[in-house]
Amino acid sequence: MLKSISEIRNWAHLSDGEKRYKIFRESYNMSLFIDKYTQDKSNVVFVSKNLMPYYFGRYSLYPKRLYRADNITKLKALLSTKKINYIVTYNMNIKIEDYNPIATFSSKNTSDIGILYKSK
Amino acid sequence: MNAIVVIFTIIFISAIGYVVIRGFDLLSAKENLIAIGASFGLGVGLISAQLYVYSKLNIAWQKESLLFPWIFFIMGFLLKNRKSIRIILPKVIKLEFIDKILIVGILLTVSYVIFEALLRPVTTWDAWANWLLQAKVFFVEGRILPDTLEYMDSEYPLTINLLGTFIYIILAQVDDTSVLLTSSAFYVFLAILFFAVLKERFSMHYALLFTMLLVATQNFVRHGGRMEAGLADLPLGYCSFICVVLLFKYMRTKSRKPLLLLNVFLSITALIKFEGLPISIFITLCTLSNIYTNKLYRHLPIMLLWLLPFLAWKVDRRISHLTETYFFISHRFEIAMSKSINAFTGTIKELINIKSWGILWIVYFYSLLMYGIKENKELAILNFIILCQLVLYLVIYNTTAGNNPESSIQRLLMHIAPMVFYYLALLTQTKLKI
Repeated sequence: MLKSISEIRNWAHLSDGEKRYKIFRESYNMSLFIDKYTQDKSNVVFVSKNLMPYYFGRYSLYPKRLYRADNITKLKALLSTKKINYIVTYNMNIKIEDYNPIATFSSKNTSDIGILYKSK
Repeated sequence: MNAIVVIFTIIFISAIGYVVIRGFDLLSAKENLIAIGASFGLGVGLISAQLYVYSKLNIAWQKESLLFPWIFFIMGFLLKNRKSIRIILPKVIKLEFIDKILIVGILLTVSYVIFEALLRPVTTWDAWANWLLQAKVFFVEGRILPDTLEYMDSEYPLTINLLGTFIYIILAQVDDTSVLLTSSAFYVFLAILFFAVLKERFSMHYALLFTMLLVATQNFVRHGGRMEAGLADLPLGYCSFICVVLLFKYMRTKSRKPLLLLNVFLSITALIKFEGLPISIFITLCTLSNIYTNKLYRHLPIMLLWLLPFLAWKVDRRISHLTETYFFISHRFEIAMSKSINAFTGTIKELINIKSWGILWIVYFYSLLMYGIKENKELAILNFIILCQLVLYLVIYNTTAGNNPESSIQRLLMHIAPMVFYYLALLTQTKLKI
């Protein structure tokens, strides 16, 4: 009973978005950012060493497809085998060729940075 | 509103399972409560198979094409049995004070679990990264495509994913909060089944006491709704338990019908998670031993039935050129002393985790030390299945890369925990003669 009361106090008044942010933190905001600036059914490469935002993005963004690369070699391999519409870097400083930066994500609560690139 | 629709859908799925059990007389009328307890699991297996077959035959996943065959089936059952169906109020059983306390405790715990399931969207990693991801993808695509399976790097069987897809089809949208009620449904039906199985043999307060112990165990509360809803481990524990119950029924009656139903549930068990396949194999070995001992050789062909859906799914994957990467790429053979030490210490740490399990595993292993493994036939079978599965998990931890107790043992123990509760209920009665 006491547990239920504390849970109601912590969760019941939150909107769906607030609950998702409480659970997934910046991964949730990152997926909103990617969703906002990409077209339907596009293919996006997520370049990062962080796993959570990639896996959460893969879940929340479908039918947009997310692929992951954590270094330049894997990125080049994906670019050569799939039709990639966008690249998003997340907390990684990496040189992206043949794609233009179109939007930047900067977390209000942490130092996380993301840059979204679109194919030329 | 979606939650109410999901509840009605769960009732409908259970009705399908119940009508199949009673329509084909797979359990007797006296075993009505057991039939109710098993109905949801059977219904889940059937609607998942329906979605899978429809996808293969290019039949659209529309509400009408999915629901009407079952509605006609249920109506056919009701028409066929209209003379024997009587709507009567259940007899009011005189309950002792202790029974009332236990029932209130069970109902409060179940209510808390359902409340927790609806409080948050899906939280636990594997639930949204795997099970509900696939449910969503199948719903969005309207069928199962090899390309999407390849994209999701999915090798797991599809039963639980397709259950989520079915819910989304009925809702006509993805709602990853309401769909968690399916985990609560497995929790509730496990409680009903567990109570029914014990009530069949023991007194009301004995059955209620052990049911209360089961439903109040923290890990069951978590998987039923609080924070770990959406995983496939509780469904696997529930189906494994049904298989053992049906095995014991078959051993007692030597009748084909419980054996047929056992095969159906062995098939469902094997098609929930990879870990279901060895459980089904261990239970099959026990069944074959019973067939051999009692010279029931005419029942042998029935024992092959459960493998057919599993093999069909594997062949389908091969035809679709889907790669098997679990043991070949992501979890390759690897042994090291540090791994072995971690495998044992991590597992033992979870077995004595009172916060998750109470004293369940401590009492279980203590009872093995005190009374041995072969107290009687039923207890021996339960111990065989439980210990074989546990040893298998230890072997996997010892020999494959990327598997360690820290990330998974708490979930894996869910697969055998209902059997452990059942074992302790049977043993306690044997020793204390309550």
